[in-house]
Amino acid sequence: MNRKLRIIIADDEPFLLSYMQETLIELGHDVVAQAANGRELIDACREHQPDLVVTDIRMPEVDGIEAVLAITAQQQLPIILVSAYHDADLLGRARSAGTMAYLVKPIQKADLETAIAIAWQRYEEISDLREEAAQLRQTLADRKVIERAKGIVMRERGLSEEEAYQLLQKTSWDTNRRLAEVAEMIVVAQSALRGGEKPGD
Amino acid sequence: MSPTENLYRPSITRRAIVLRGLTIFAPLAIAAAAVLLGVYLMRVRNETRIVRVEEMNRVAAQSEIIVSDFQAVAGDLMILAGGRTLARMLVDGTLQTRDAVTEEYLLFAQQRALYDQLRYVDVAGQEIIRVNYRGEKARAVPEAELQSKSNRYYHIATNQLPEGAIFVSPLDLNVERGQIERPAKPVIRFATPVFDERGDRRGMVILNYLGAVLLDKLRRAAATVPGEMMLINSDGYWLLGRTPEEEWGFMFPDRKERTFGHAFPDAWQTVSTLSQGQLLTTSGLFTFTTVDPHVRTLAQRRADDLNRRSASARDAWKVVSYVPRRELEARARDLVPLLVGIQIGLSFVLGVLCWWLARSSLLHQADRARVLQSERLAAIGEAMAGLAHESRNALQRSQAGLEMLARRVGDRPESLAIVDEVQSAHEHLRDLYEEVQSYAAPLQLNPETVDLRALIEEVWLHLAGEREGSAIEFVAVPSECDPSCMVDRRAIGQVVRNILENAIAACKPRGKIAVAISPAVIDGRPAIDVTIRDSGPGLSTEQRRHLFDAFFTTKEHGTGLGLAIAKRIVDGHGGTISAGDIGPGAVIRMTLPRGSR
Repeated sequence: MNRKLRIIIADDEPFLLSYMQETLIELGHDVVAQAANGRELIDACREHQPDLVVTDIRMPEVDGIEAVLAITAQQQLPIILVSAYHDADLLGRARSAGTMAYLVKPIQKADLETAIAIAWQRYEEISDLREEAAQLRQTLADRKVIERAKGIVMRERGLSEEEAYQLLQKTSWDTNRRLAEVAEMIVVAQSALRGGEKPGD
Repeated sequence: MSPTENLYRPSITRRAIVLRGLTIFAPLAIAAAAVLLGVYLMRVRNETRIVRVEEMNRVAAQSEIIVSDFQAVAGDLMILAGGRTLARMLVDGTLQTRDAVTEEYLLFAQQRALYDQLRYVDVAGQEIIRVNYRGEKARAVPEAELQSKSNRYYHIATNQLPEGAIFVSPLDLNVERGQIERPAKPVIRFATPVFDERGDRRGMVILNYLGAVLLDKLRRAAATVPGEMMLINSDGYWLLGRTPEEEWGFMFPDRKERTFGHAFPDAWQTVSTLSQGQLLTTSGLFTFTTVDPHVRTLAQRRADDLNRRSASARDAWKVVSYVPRRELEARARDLVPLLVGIQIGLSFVLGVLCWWLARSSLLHQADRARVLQSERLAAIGEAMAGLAHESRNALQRSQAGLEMLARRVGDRPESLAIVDEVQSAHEHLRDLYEEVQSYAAPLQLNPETVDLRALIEEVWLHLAGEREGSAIEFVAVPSECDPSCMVDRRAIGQVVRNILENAIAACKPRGKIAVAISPAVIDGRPAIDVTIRDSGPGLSTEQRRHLFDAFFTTKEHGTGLGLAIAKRIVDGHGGTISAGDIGPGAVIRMTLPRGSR
């Protein structure tokens, strides 16, 4: 995996920020922003929409884990936590924040390299799964609305099920709209004309 | 008991208990012995007090006997000297009256049975009448055998006495013709001068009193009681002694040393100077009184009082009763078996008590030491863990700096070599921090059933990295022993890992590591013995002694904590770990109880 990632790094120590920037660039990535605390990290993510975040935990104002929770509420992206501490409490918080990796200081270039590789791969896998699930959900919803529209057409025009479906398909082609869109419009129109029946019911 | 409290098991040796017990037992036993000795001595003192009174009465009675006997002798003497027949003989001087006097004397001697001789001697010293009493038979000596006694001391002394006075000779052995008569015949001579009607001095009556009569009386009186009755003269010679051999020392040139003074120097001083008394010396109890054998008539006594002549100034005797110390203590000795029995019984009870006390005090002490030790360790552990944590940030900066530096000097091999050197030092420091932290951190053990053989093999597989570039054979010695054991898997895994790491380092570049499991017993409970033997160079005595000490290492980059951590974990499981001394190669033997504590 040699994809160039857009990464944001956060640490309250400027020296470590410059070390990570240098190291990540050497590993072939882009460091799009640096943050000195959790608040800066949240803002930077909103602004730059990075591919991945590497952040320290103990930082002033907002700590790493709080920032991660705020960021992942907005968008899905892989997070790598780096900390000098690894007590049970911190580990538990990190796990519930859905982090991809947890590195205990001191870390080396090799640690970053493998952690990023694994985190990105896992993230992609998860993203694929998520996309697939969304598609399946859409398909299911479409099918439902089409069935209802078909029912309305059959009732209004006195057509058979097959004839009603063919009519819907024809309309879709004629109007250059998705079949589900056409079905949705029929359901909405029907509800407006007749009242009582709400769309989506 | 939580697992962390088992770090140091109290080890109390029998020897320590005995030593501690003795420090409690000895004073108590000595005190008990002292009390019992006090009881014994009190008893001795009481018995001695009784003996003192008894002996004083006895000595007084004996001196009474002597005095009254001698008074009787004096009476006899005056009767014989003042007899009417003797007075007639002095007037007429006929053979007839002399025979009459002889008859009277014979009768007297026979009836009295006290006198060896009974004589009338004239002023010139010629024996006129002499009756001998021998073998319980009185006999008049024929005139032809009568001797002149003009030179004898008693004759000379008596010739100077006034009428009514009595001469008393010293008590000595009878001498006949210059020889001491055998068997010894103690004799004392009583004499009184005889005057005729006109008041002229005519002669003297002499009674040879048989000392044996008196001495036998004394002897009999002493026979029934403990101790000895003695009669000694003013020079300290025995007239009546403990044995016949020590008596009459003054009569025999070779017995000059046989005196009371020689036998009891400590008592003699007192006995010879005081007229009566009692003293207790190391030899025993002496009770004595002075007896004046010089009986006096009433007239004489009046004269003495006027002249204030004391009895002791003269040739007085001492009646001495001597009770040896062992006799004094003999009466108290019946207490001894009882007292010894009490002492033995008490000692036993005290012994058991002291053993128990010593044991519980040592246990308590060990417990305290253990609590202190674990508190101390916990404090150190906390500090160490804190230190290790804090150092992580510093180590991180150092690591970051080293990597950045390496990039900047990448084109300068010499500088890069230095950076590499620092990097390796940095890593060593990091490892050290990790191990210190794991050594010092509180031990949390969660025992579960673990197959030790499988665990060892698993650890061996994980050590592939350590073995890289070497050919080391792993041999699990076959055994019927059940390898399951209640231990903390992670902790014992670390122990095995630390041992195997050392074994691998010792074997490199090629060698063999053998692991054997066998059943064992620890503190009376079933246990498992794990022996890990390598084919390396082995351990010196010095290395064996310090193998499990923290920071002891023979490796160039070792922290010296691996086996110290191992020992801590094994101790925490209630097990033991040690280095064997049977080569070749090093042998580490770990014994773990099968059950959890």
